[in-house]
Amino acid sequence: MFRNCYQIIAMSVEDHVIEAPAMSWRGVFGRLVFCTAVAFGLYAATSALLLTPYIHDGSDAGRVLGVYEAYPRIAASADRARELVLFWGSSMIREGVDCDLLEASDPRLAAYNLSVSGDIPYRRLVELPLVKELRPDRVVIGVSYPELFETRAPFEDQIAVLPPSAYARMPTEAQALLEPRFRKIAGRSSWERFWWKRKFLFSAVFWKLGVPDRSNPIPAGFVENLKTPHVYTKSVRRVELEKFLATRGGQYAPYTSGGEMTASAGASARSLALLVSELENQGTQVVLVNMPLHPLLNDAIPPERRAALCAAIKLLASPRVRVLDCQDAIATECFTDLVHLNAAGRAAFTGMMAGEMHPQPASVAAATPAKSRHEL
Amino acid sequence: MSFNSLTYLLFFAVVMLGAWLLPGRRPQQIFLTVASLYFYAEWNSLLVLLIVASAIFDFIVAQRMGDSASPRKRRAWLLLSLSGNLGLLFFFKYSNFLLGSLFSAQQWAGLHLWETAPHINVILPIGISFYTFQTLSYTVDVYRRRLEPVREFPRFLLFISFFPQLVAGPIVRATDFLPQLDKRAVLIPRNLQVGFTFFLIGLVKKVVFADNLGGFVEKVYGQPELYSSVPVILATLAYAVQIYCDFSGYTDMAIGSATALGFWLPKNFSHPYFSASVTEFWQRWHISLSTWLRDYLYIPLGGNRKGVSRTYINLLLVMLLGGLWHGAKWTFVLWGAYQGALLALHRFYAVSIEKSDRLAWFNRLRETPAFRWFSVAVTMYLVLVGWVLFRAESFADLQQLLHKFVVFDGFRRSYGIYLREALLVMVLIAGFFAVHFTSFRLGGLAPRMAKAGGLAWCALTVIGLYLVMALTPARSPEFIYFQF
Repeated sequence: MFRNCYQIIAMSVEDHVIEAPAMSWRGVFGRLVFCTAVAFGLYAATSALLLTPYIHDGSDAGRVLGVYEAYPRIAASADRARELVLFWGSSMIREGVDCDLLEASDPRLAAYNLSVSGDIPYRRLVELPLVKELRPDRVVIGVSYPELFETRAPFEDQIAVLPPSAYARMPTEAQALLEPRFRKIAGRSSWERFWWKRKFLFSAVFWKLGVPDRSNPIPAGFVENLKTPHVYTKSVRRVELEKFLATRGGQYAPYTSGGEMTASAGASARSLALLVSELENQGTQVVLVNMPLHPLLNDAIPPERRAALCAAIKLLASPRVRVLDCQDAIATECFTDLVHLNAAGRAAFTGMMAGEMHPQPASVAAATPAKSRHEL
Repeated sequence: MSFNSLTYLLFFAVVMLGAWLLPGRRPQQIFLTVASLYFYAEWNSLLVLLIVASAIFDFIVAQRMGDSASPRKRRAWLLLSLSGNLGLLFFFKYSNFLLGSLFSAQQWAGLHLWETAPHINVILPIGISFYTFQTLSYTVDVYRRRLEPVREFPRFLLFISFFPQLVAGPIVRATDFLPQLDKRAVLIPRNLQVGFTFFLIGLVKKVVFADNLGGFVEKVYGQPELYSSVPVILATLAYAVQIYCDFSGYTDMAIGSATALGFWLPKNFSHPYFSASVTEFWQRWHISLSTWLRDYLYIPLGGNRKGVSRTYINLLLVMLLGGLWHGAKWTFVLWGAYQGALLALHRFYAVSIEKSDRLAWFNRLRETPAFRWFSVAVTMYLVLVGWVLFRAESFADLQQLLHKFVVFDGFRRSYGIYLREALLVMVLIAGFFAVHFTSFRLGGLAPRMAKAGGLAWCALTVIGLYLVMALTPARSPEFIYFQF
């Protein structure tokens, strides 16, 4: 067997001829059609019994749907005697705001945490018609470097999970901001959406088997939780965070580098400006909050980048738009990682928000281990 | 137009119908040639002219060579053909590589001939390495009088451009393919079923295994500095599965398409990851290339007939060129040298042991199943090291990857890899090896499936179609071997 380095592989035309049973054209096509139909039926069943429930209950994309469908529910349930406050933003707001705590600290408020993981204002444009109908008294928008510097489009799943009718309702100015890829995904037919769902198959199977997708799995009821949709329970040790930054040469895009050179140039920044102006026009108070970051990350952000961010947010300030800089308002021990707050941080940040809305009750102020915050 | 697209299915249905309806051999072959050129033109319509020009050149040269009785003239025609074909290949594939290497060399030597790296703006014609080797084998076979030159140009053009194997092989020999063009291809229901079976298996390999593993490989190999040994080892295993499933999947789809049209294409893979030596690996991996290199390079260089040291040199040289054939990158050259060195070492080991009477017990041990499986494991490890060389994007990355692959750095945390992602990769790798092993034991899954009775065939087909429907990723990358 090893005698020659290049032995001739015994192969001939005859070896390759397959002895398959003889059959008619009708027989072959009949079998092919039958097998395709059965496979399609199996996929349809998988889609209905596994993929759709997973998207709705266990995925980040499902949260987009949960939030979108929440507006009419909020409208139906809101006690308009109380001040209606909505929190918009990414996982930084998701982890940072406890609406139950906020309402308990100030009973005059009816607050809803409508955060979506990885969200950017560009995606949030689709909620404009709903927020116009709801007419909240105040919308607090958590912003940070991703919201203003990032040039990426929203995640495909977060666009595709909503029906095309949601995008058709968007105001013309908002539709004009959408780039071709966004439009293409938003305009997908039901047939295309039926096939798109297959990308969740592996995740759905793992979800069904109870295998967590990350160290902090999505809790039950997360999709429709509008008060305390917190996910992170485990904190990363400081030494790990230092190592994380060190492996990246002290960089963590888009916080420390990358994206548009000027913070207000990207589609996301322009979307934020449109959201703010639309809310302002309908008489809603807007609070733009530069979200708290871990001191380690703050140290890695170049001063000129921070100045650019602050300048970009400040541009949006007006009598109806308040701008707060909380970037270094929270202490190290209040973070689960470089950008997300833990329970203590949440209590602190929620207390701060309560204080910004109305004079702060003494109990919340005392529980706040905040470092500093200031109005821009 | 990729095999794993609906456009291809539509195209193929039209081609099949056309080939079935057309009455005679000539009209059918002209139709298939036009379809093949259209298939290629879907990528780049201008570069179709290159294939046609190359075919005209070789068609004329081979005729002159065949008609000439003088050995000197024949040799001159052969040299013309070799320089024409290899010249084209060199220009399109290696000119920028050469210029870049010269630029690096002058910088290293402290010369300043160029301020910036010179660059020629050329597109790499897809499949050029494959069809060049195919035309070369034809002219060499005509030169060796093993083959009569073809007198009908459409027939010759069909041999060069036959769409199932045009862009990524298998490299078909003229001696295998041209006789099939002597008569009209017969399209029969049985061939359609067999072809469909091969095609479906290839499709499952490509979209279920290769494409779903590709993302993880890309992530780790794209930024190796971020990952520890465990992800690097996992990504290398994943790449071994990815490249096999991608390439052998393409071959299966090519064979399936050709079979449905009534043509035979040679086998290109035979369960390479169950090889008990690197030599055996090369008898099972990309067989059409390794046999081509053997017949048109290794044997003409003297093979193993010119002494021991010359044999080793020949092996090294052949594999070095084999590495370079894959692409214009030094990492490919290094990979080729590594494979050549392994082949030479294995030859030395095998010959030494077989000659030694004192090691008769060891030769008996080598025949045991346990030793074979041990050898399979060792070979797999050596092949995996080879894939690290092959996949690394630069020498800097290679250094890091090799260090992490060979010297285990413990279970250090790697950022950005989630449990589900790692589990998915492991499930896919385990699933692949389970199927690969079953296929190995059965002597090939596709032939066994094609032979199976109605119910078994339908059950397996439903599974295959379901996997394709449910697991095809949203974006399916191009076949890896298209770049070669």
